[in-house]
Amino acid sequence: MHTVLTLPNATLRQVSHPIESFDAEVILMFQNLATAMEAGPGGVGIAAPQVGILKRAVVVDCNFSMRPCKHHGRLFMANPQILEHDGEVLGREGCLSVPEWVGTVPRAKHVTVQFQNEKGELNTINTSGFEARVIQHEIDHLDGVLFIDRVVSTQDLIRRM
Amino acid sequence: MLSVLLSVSGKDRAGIVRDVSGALLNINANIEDSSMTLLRGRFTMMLIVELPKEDGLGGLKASLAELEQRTGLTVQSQVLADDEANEIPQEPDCVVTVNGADKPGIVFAVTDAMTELGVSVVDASTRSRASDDGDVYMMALEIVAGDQLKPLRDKLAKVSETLSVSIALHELDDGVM
Repeated sequence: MHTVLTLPNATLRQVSHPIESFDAEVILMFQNLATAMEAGPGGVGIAAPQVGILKRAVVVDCNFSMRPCKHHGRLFMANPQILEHDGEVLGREGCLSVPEWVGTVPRAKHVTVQFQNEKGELNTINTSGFEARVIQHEIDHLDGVLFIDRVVSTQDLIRRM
Repeated sequence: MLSVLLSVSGKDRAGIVRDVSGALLNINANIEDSSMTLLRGRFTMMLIVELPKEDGLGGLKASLAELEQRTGLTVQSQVLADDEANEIPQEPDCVVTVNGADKPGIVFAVTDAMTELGVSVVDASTRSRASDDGDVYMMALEIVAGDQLKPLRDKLAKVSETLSVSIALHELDDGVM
């Protein structure tokens, strides 16, 4: 069972490497990530660097969202890439790796994401709202970016008007 | 521990936060939660500081009096009751943004609509900005709307029409990722 790293662990700030070969180990990594995500309260997503694995892998599952939302079920995403994004919405984010903190973060409303599943098969999905937010949050982890880097205050919101 | 709310303000210059935090450090007072911002030419600070109960308020009062005298800052202090000091602030579930031609009564009308529904404000910023077509007023509020979202949306639509200002209500999805 993986332990979720928390700030100020330096691994959280590193850029993860692409997954190049897909084998049983990759499948196991995704399953372990999902277990770690479920262990945290209200977890809807997790990225491999959060458990110390610097690989471009994320698990997203908005079945666990506190509010019902449209989603694609459990997603195992290797090498995810946002191909297109549109609109902006505000949301309140928390992170397993930044316990006790929540903040208001602007994210694209709609995203088109390309990724490989755990077997290496290429997929593209269009998603909006909460699931799009979670995917953007998790992809940020693969680049060493945390939501606290993107938090806005009411003063920032005014500046952006 | 003793929790004290300090409000400090003064004509802006470099070194205000340094001066205040230095005065607090001298008496071993720890800065806990704070909000500090520049409003026009005046720097304003609200801080909750904690100090050992046995030290009492004497040292703090003396240190703050010396700070006022030396720096020209205005300082007020107020001891917080334990229940206030230990309360975990509510998390907002909505952001309301307002903008339009500046006129008296915008803040009142918006917050009056909220109060009628028991909706609480947890953070607010406003700014009036000069533009070629007159002053523009902007406001952003973080609120706890709870189950009052729908009636609030209706009420704010009426306020928007009456005052001819744009009001947007952004529902905040939340989750641990």
